Amino acid sequence: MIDQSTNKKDVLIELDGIAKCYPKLRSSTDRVIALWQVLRGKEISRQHQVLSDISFQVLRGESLGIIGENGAGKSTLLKIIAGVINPTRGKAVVNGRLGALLELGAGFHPEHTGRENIRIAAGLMGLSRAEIKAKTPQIIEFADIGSYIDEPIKHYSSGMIVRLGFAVVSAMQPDILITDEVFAVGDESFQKKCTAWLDEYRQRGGTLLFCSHSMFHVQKLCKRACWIHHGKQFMYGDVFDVTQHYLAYHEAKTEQQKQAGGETQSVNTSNEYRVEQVHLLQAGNAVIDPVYQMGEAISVTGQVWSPDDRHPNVAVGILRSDETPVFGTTSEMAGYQLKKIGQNQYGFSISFPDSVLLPGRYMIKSHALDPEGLRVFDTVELYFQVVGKTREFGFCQLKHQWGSS
Amino acid sequence: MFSEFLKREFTSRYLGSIAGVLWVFLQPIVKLLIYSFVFSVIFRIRFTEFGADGFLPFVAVGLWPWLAFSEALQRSVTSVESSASLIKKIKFPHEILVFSSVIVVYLVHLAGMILVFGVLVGMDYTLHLSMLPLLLVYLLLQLMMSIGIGFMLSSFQVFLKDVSQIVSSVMMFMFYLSPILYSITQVPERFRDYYLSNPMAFLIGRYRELMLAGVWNPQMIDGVAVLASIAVFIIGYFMFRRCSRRFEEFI
Repeated sequence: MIDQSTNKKDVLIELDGIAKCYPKLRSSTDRVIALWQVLRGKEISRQHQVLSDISFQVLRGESLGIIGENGAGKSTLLKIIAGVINPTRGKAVVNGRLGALLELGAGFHPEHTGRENIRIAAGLMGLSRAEIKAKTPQIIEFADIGSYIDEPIKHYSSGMIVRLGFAVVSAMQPDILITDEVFAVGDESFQKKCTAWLDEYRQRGGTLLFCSHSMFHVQKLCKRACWIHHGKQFMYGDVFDVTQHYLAYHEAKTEQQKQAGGETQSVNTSNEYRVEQVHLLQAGNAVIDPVYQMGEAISVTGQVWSPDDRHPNVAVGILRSDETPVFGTTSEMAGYQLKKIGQNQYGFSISFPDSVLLPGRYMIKSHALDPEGLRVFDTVELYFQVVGKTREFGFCQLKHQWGSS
Repeated sequence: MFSEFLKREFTSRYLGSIAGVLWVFLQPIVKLLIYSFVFSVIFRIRFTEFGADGFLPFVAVGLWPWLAFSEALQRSVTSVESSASLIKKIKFPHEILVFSSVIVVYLVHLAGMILVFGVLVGMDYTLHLSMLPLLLVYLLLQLMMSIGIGFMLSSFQVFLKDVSQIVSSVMMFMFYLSPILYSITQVPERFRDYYLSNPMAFLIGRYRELMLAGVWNPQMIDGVAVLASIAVFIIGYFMFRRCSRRFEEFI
């Protein structure tokens, strides 16, 4: 997996068998024993493991996304790489200047003003006094929080704290930037600013270590991905490979939960319309997270549950994975009547033959509608990917013609 | 970075209160005046050892170094624990927490002591200010010892939350068991050996000889004191280093 011939200079992060354990502390006796063991330089005998056997390299320019469920150990891993905490076993080597944006307001002092905190935080990150002085105006401009810069941080909103934190980190010009899903807090315009900065940062050769639940962002920003599952390195490799397996895993998991919950739902006399058993078909077979060739037919089948046994309607829409709508329609618009297949059950299928979608990740949303086609109830989302050899861009291939005038 | 931490420690400690920095100097002076009232006015205790110059300079020379010592330990013991959020979020040398908490206390009390010495000289008391540099050398030993003990206590506190309680009780006992309000020569012979185990008893004795009598006759014990404070500092430092790798797991 790891290319041995890689030039040492380009290895920014090298993890070798990282493991992290936390002590089990039930009583004060445990604490006394733990202190004695630490003082003698021994391992603590009672502990539970949160990370084990994590080994990978991050090369310059090859941004890495870290994905995994809540509690999988992602944040712990990032903190180990950032040097905030020490691994119990294994070695983490970081070459180059590292900027970390791990937690909201880390290193800020609530009583001090924004301006003072810039000085403190930048000092903590290892900038010299002269550097800080030179960069402060630039940081204040980037944070763009107006006169609040001279107010104590405790009066800030969480969005303003993120702005300030990001502004300080961005001014450091780090070789590696570690972030842990903090952009989600800022408003639209700030997120745009961050994204623009990150793009420029990566173009300059900066490397990102990015932990997120948004596969869209991971795919957009990273070249490789590492999937941490129950503290173990479950998968590491190309970002599309890893994220697609991860999404498929989640599909399967929610599917299981739905099936487990389905039996109780049949007794449930909920009076809402809902979509059930929605599948994407590829060559006639239901496939989870399918990959279509350009131009291949994309079809969806499913059922709608109707509480009053009247003919319900269904809406189907295709969106790009960043939720930009591409196309949507409803059975009501087409005058299509869902087929009754059982008590309260109505089936539907829709097909997009010769799809003109361009390569990329897409989402297909199915909504249950009432017989009048007015009210939208349940929504089910499925993902698919379109691949193909083209350099055209956008969502879909429009008929076009180049002419001489 | 270190100066930022000193500033942070100083402001978080003193700027929140109304009287601010003034209070820092006022409190020990009020203490000195009360001791003076109780012991020389009510109990009518007279010290003959360093001339008949009275109680004020006698206690003042011992009181400020003692306050520096006792407050430094009480501040440093919680210095790591109270910075839990920093330790969990930021990469920085944890030693700085102990250094800054101890050094701020020493700077404040050193300034207070020099101020009081000035006032006492102004009031025509005899103080041998020419010995001040030597006093600072001994105070430096005391500082090294305080930081060393601070290293140990602050790392223990992370594991065992009641260390700070024990420290404040012990400091109260030690105040009366150290020759601050009395002289070691007033202690009956048979108890005097116990005082050898109290480093502050030795240091306060030296401070008084220097400032009140203006004499300095170093003996072997002074050499031992130098080695001991260096040893305490180094041992404390290594204990702290061992524990600090794992602070985040216990804090």
